[in-house]
Amino acid sequence: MTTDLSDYVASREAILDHVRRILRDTMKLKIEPQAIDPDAPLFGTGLGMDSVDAVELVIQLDTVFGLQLSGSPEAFLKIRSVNTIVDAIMEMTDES
Amino acid sequence: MSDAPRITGWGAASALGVGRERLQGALLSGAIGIAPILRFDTSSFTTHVGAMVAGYESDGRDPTVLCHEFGSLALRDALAHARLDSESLGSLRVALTLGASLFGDQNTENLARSLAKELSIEGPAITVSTACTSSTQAIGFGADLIRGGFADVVLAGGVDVLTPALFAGFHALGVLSEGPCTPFGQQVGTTLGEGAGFLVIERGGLRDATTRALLRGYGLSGDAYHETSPEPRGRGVAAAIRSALDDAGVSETEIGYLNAHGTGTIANDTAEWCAIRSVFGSELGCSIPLSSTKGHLGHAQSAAGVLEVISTLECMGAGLAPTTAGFEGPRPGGPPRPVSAKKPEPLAYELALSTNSAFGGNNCALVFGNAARAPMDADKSRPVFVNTTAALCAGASNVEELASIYESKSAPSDREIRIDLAAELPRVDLRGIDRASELLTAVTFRALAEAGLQLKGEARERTGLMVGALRASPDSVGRFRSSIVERGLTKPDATAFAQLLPSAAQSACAKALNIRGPQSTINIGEGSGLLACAISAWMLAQRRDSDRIVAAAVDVRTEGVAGGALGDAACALVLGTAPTSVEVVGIGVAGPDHLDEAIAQAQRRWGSAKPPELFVDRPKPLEGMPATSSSFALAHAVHSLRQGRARSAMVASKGTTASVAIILASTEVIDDN
Repeated sequence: MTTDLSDYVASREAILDHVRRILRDTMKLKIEPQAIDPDAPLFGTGLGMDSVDAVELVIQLDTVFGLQLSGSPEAFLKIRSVNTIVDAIMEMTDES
Repeated sequence: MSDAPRITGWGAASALGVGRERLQGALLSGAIGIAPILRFDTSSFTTHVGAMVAGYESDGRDPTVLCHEFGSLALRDALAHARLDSESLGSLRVALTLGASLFGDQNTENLARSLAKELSIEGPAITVSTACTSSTQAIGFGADLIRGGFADVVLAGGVDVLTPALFAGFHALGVLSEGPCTPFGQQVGTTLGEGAGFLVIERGGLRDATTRALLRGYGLSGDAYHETSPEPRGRGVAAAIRSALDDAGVSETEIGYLNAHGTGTIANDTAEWCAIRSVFGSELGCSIPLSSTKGHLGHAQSAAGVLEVISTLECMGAGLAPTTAGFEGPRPGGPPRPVSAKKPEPLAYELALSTNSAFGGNNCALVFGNAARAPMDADKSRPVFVNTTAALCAGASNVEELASIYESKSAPSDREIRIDLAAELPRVDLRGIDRASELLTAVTFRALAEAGLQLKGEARERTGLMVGALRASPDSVGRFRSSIVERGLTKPDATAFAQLLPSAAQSACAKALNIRGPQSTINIGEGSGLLACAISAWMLAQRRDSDRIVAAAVDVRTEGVAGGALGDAACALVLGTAPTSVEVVGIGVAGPDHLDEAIAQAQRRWGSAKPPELFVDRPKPLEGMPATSSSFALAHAVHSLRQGRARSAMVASKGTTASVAIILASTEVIDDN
């Protein structure tokens, strides 16, 4: 593995870990953050998040990572799962 | 029995002016009361409009002061319209039913107490705190006070004020429209408003007064679905409408106009339209004249229901249909043709239906109409029994342990109670549940479980929940407050915001346990739980929309606040129409200084020449739990009757804003030999 790639993996892992902890706290889940499947849908039949949880999640992602999500449908796609959130944060960091 | 309660006057303070005449003039000219907000800075929000009371747009006084002022203005306006002066008020038995939620950290009964004091109202003052259905339900309960002979005149309505915190909470939930809201129209979202409105409701034959309309019936229901979103198919709204039609004794085909809740949000308007079509059918649903008044008045929260009834009455009297301001074309999933002329157009109708829905899934519908139709209510009273009881407080997790607190006369040393709700309800999503919700759900679950009731199928719709609670759970209030301090007004804790209501516990409990029947959260300060029992018994006896109602109360310790509870406590009694060994034989409700009258009413209804054998007081060691302690006394009275210690028992409570008395009698036939 090249240094660049291992750096990338390490920073992705760190963000993934952070997002899982935010989710656990936002949704008051009584499970370890590692137990959250990064590909599970956050809403509906997945983790069971609802519109009120989404409000808190969006506020947390802005406060912690500076990730601004507008009310557009595209923004909603970015919070479908833990992995899509991590992708959005990585993409934002790359651009800045 | 008595004929339908008469509406003899009304008064309003709203975005369309202070006084009913201004409201009438503005509505008939098609005016809109929504404007840029001046009272507080909205620059950090994405929307800047609201519907403040005219003349108070920049008034930055404390919200409780404004609430009192709006309430006082509307009450005086209503009394003048009904030609009731202070002298005649003093000679009649006058009650107040007040819809007020005061999102946040105060006891809701204080407002009712100060308004009753100002107007020298001597009768019971009952506060109904179910957010956007508060004043609608207050009108329904007001009708019952008249029908039951508990009062001669009821001033029924509600009041609310638009605060920065309220605005911030709704903004965070993403439900505010950018411009003035257009219910059922293409712009999505609602506009918040404020104000106050009251109806004067009285019994017929009381005095020489003009009957302007008749209050025919009301219906309540719960979605048991979500903290902020309505059940998408409008199941709860439909149930409330059906129950109101049944109470009024009319069929849906007789309704000539429908005033919808119509907030403007996708979730509400779509669910409501589903409900209307399910009750009226697709054809009649599409042809019945319907509109939402929120395009004119914004969403006045706890005052919305009564202001919408008043708007309808004003237009009905003039032979006009209220219009949906701002509507320029339908949106998918909404009514295709709501009444939407620029000004109200002629429409002749004798009966109107008005609906409201609230956070937590409370729904209420009212049927009212032209004075020309005056049917007689048949006496259809049926007996009501106590099925099971459950108590929860420091030192007692059931009625047997409560009995030992009564016997020992000493306070338990440990003031903490611990509940493991997740273990009792393993399949229920309890994430984020606050303390009041946890206590109420636990005690309600235990009472229903002891009764062997599993709420499935039709039993869910046939079970109600009437809760006495004085305020929102302090842990939710604290979380909301600190989120605003730490993150700013634009980033409040949305979960805590949705729980900033006295009715949040009732909604969470109903959701966890699938209770979808008639439900509400009421408050008279001390004795609130006993009033919840009295209302439940009355509803079961007189109505046909439920088979059992859980009459409950909850207190959560609130430190350093006037009127706050000293400890956590909850109590639940399952009342029902299926016979058990204990019957509720008499109820009485009167003003806070007229406990004797409440007791006399209960005794009269019981019909016994002798007084009850046993009087059960509040448990002395458990004082300082205002909503719950009188419910504990009733649960203990039930226990005592079952133990054979007496054949009849009374619990009476001189509450903060009302007195309540309940007499229970054993139905067991005892061989005196």
